[in-house]
Amino acid sequence: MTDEPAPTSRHPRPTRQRSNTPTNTAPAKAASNAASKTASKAVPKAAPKRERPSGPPPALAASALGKSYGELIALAPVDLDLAPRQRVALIGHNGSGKTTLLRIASGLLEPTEGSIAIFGEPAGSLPARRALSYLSDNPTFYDDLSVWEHLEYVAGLHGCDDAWEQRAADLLGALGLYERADDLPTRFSRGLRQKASIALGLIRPFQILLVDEPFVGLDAAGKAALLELLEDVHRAGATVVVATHELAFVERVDRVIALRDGNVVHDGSAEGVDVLTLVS
Amino acid sequence: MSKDNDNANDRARNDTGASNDSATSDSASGDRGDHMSAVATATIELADLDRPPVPVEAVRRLRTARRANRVAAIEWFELAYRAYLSGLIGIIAVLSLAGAIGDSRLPDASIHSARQHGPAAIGVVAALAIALGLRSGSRGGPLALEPAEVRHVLLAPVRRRQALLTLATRQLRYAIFIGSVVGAICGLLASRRLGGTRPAWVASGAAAGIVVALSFVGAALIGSGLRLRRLVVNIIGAAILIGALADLGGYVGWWPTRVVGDLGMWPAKAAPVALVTVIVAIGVVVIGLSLLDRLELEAAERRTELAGQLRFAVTMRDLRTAIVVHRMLAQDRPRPRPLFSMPGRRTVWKRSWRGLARLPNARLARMFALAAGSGLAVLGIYRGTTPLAIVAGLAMYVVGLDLLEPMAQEIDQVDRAAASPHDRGRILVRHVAPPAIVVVIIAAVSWGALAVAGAHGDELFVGAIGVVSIGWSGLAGAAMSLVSGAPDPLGLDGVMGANELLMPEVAGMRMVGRAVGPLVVAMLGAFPTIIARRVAVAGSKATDGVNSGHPIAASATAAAAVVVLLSGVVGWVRFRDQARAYLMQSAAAAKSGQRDKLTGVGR
Repeated sequence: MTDEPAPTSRHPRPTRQRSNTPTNTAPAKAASNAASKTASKAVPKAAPKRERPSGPPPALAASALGKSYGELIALAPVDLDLAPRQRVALIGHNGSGKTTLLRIASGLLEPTEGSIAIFGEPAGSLPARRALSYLSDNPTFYDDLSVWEHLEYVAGLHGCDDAWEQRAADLLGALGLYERADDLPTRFSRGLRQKASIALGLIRPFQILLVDEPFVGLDAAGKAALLELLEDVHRAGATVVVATHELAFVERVDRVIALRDGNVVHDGSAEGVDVLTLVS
Repeated sequence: MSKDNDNANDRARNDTGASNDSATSDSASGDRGDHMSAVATATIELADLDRPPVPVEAVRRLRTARRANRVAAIEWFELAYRAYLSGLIGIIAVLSLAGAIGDSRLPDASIHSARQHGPAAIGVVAALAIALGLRSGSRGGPLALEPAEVRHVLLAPVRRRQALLTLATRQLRYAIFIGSVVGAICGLLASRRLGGTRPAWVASGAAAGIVVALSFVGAALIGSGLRLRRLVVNIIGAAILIGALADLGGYVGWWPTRVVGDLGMWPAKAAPVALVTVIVAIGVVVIGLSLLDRLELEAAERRTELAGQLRFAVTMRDLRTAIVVHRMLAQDRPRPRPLFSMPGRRTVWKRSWRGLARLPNARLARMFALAAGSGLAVLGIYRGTTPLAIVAGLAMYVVGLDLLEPMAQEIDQVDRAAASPHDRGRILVRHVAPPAIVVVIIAAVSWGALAVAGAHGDELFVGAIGVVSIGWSGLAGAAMSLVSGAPDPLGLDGVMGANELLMPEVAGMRMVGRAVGPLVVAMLGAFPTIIARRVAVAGSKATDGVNSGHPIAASATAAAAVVVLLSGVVGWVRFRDQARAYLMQSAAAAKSGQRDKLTGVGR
């Protein structure tokens, strides 16, 4: 593979190239704090069992959800309700059950007990798959498809209309990947793979976005771009759940859920949360 | 859709509308002063949960395009060479098989026996296929998807059954092809020995082969679709197999898998009921295909990651990698708590025992089963079936590979060995001692099986020597195999130096030697039993009253010779690295001298 930028003239140009430098996020933070105040009222502190409110189903609802491998408990029975349009940070030390929870919600893992629903549909079912986009911490790509071909394929799999091309160009531009659109992502570095994976997760329509450790491996500019994209996703009206220790993101969220050894040890507003204590 | 779902959709619609509005207003107003707001509106699209499933056309288009790419990338000369090699090996295999089976018609009594037992024997093969198919299904098989296929296709709103059907039918086609070819060859060989018209035998053999292949794939699809647990699958598989074996041994009057055999033996004895198996096999496959959408993604994802590695390791004859990947596929992990603790201060000795104390139950059970099989094979050798030496040797070779796991781990940790102040050989050879002790305990199981099978008198003593001998030789073969590592197709790790490729013939011979050598060593342990048998036969035939020796004494003497040979293997493990280093230095010095001579340096 050559390091020179690949020719991308056959793809639409990004609407406007996103600046990869951190932008002023004060207004967004203010809006976020306002939202979190509202959300903190609505979301009670962690409780083992809760009465489910009547009305439209939550974006994600877990009921006594647990996963164990023999004697090893990866996720103790957990009850969770995430309202639509909520921004949630999932934090916890290594092995606390964050990835397990996200993988179960995506349908990749099946719980050993309890149930989980996405907009009222069982996780992994066809409507749930339509509603949920999952970005794994370990991106996988086809060996023989370029980034652009991946985007085209994923867009096709999700029934996107022709507008996907412009959206893809915009996404790649935002992530600083536009010049690499015709390169094979399997040959990318960790950070570039992560960016390509983010583009794949966002090109398709969704209502809830689950992201596992997206900031790992990204440079400062990449982190800033991702923070902006997550902000965009939230603004567009989707629910966002991110497993991360990235304080810049945790500060913006409406709700922080902390896991320890598979148990929820904190569930509430981001205000006053000592992330370091919760993940240690 | 349920009421809840309708609510969800309403909510989603509302949310979509609301969010789009808000996003538009954001971008239109530009209140935030954020120059990316226009992009934000355009890049994110909210899903409409009311939409029907996406047609699977995108998947089909992609697969067609990728197939076209692969065909375009094929190097036809290489493909022709591979086809030539495969054909050549196939012909040699068929001719060897034909030579081993023989060409002349069997006596009537033998033909009668074949007609009587043939269906049950073929039934055992069918039972084995079903058991293996179920086992594969419980591990996420039989489909081996690409990891990206699981993430991108199976998590997309397309119907999984439709998306997987193409892959499943491709696998079925392949299985049918292999089954028909193998069945037809067996039919052809049978026609020479059992009489009857050749086309009839070939057709019935191919039909039986196809049924066996369909049974394997169908059982795997059902095992996967019903998400049968490994324990359940093992119990069902074992029950089917034991029933088929009991049918072969005459312990039961009839067993369902025998009907597959009736189909294969049709020219010998027409049995219209056998046609039912074709319908049943097709039915099993149809049921399996209907369960495709129940594929467990967790198992499929694990399989996708490992199946490719396993295939590559097998292609490269990289035994260690194949074992490790297979264990991962079978989720065969060391036990969390050791079986026992070993006191002592010798580092390697203690580490080796710790590894053995963590052998999981499944591996222990397999080792004992293989040991029992090896014991029965030793008895068979003593009773005159010499080729059982291959079975006994291979069984204990596999046991040896399991017992030498601590040594294998040491070999895997290249950096650790390189950082150690001790020779690698010195460490590795110390890892052989604990397994050499344990193998004697395992040999006791072999001996027990042999005793239970009806061994008596000299057989018990010769058997005792035989099982220990084959245990140690299996261990030595396994050690040799592990220390040799994966064969290097380019010969880069040989004494020729890294810049020089070996000629294909030499490289090929080396690869065969490395693959076969350990197996030959593993079979050496059968030598004492074979010698004892010869002495026993010679003794029974002696008419002049002069006994040529006692089988037990002969066996013990031969075992001593085997131990001497095996100690050579231990020495090879100890000094292999030094010997290789010496040879490489010599080769480099010789090459340097030759170059100097050619360039005139030093004149």
